Amino acid sequence: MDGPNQFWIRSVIVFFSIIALVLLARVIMLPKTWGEYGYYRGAYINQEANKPLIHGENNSCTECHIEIIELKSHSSHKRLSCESCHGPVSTHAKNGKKTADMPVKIGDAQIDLCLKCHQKTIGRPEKFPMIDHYEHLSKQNVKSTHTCDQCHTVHAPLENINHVKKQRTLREALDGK
Amino acid sequence: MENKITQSLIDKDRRGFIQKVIQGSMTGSLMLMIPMNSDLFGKVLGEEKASGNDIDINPMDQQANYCFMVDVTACIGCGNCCVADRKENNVPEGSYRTWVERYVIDMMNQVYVDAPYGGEKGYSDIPINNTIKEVKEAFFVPKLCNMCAEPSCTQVCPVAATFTTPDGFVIVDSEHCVACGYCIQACPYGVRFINEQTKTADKCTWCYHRVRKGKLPACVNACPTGARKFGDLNDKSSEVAKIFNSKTRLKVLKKELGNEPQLYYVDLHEEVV
Repeated sequence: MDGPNQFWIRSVIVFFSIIALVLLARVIMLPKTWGEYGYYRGAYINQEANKPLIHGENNSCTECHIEIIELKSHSSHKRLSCESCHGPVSTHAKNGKKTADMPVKIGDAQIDLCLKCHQKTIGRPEKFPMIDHYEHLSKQNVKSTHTCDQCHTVHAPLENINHVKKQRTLREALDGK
Repeated sequence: MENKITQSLIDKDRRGFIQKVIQGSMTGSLMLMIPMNSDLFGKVLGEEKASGNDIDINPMDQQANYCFMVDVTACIGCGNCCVADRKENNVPEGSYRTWVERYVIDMMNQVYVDAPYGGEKGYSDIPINNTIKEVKEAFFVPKLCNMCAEPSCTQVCPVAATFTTPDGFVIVDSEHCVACGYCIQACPYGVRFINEQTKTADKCTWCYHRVRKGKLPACVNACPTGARKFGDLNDKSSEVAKIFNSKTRLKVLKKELGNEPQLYYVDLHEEVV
């Protein structure tokens, strides 16, 4: 083929083969779900949605610890998440079976935990119950080594205190008679 | 005459030498490329079967219009949200998907902002007492991804690794991200960072994996005072929809940028940026 059109035929073949190569490379190299919902890899949406859950919610604990949930539900700690003090549920139970103990905070660690919310700090709203730890202990006439749970039930902080108050008023009323 | 012949021989040799060098380097680079290529292709082609999914969601089915609200007046700066977030999303130490800032305004209307460890370890009075004589106003401001309706981070991504899902969440495809860091510069709220473990860009996703399974984001779940609220604006009985439709003053951060954030603040002060 030595005609005058040889040059054109060659360039047309090269042009279309480049387009074909680019299209082939695109098919091979683009992820399969690219463009399913938009200009990104559609499969990642499911991948992100299926990341493992670490924390549950408070109703994750009801199956085994219903008494504590009950106690908590009518106290001022009712909005407090179990996991913010005890740690994530996924380290403690799986498929309804206990896998490991929850870390229990006692002593100084417990005081630190309580004071993380209840320490008197600049910036906290006035209506939130805040104390200065040592000031509070001296005001209540107890030893400075006392931990919080010696007076306050941690799950329902005023449970015991209200009970004692009620008994005291009852006794006073009876004595008054 | 003789001189000319040797000269041409040298020329020829030189050309041959250069040819051989080029051939050698091309073969060498091909040897390097072939295993990389097969790995790359294998990874891309094998992605479908690699994920063992529990649920299979279609983001086009989702009708909810999710909204995040932060009630600045209720936040006590305890840092439970940051702790929960770090555990839930496996965020490496030193990076923060969400954090809590403290704004302190003194009598001269001077604003002081601090956020030690992103507020994760709680706050103390000491740095404030050392700098400010008398406090006029002080409050905590939790910060997280604003989930913009017009995000600047997705616009600048050169490989389309970060995108808005059809249900309105901005997420990062960590397998596709090349960690160029452009989105980190583009985000006006500074919520993006390079995750040291995955070596890719990372950000708060409003716990997409939890929300899709019908649970609240980890930080909302951990908040003891209800300062963080999350819900569906289309569901008229939800707490956020009630606040949204009431006369409560709602504000978004940096409104003038036109990013249209979906994160609303209740009773936010003018000083907060």
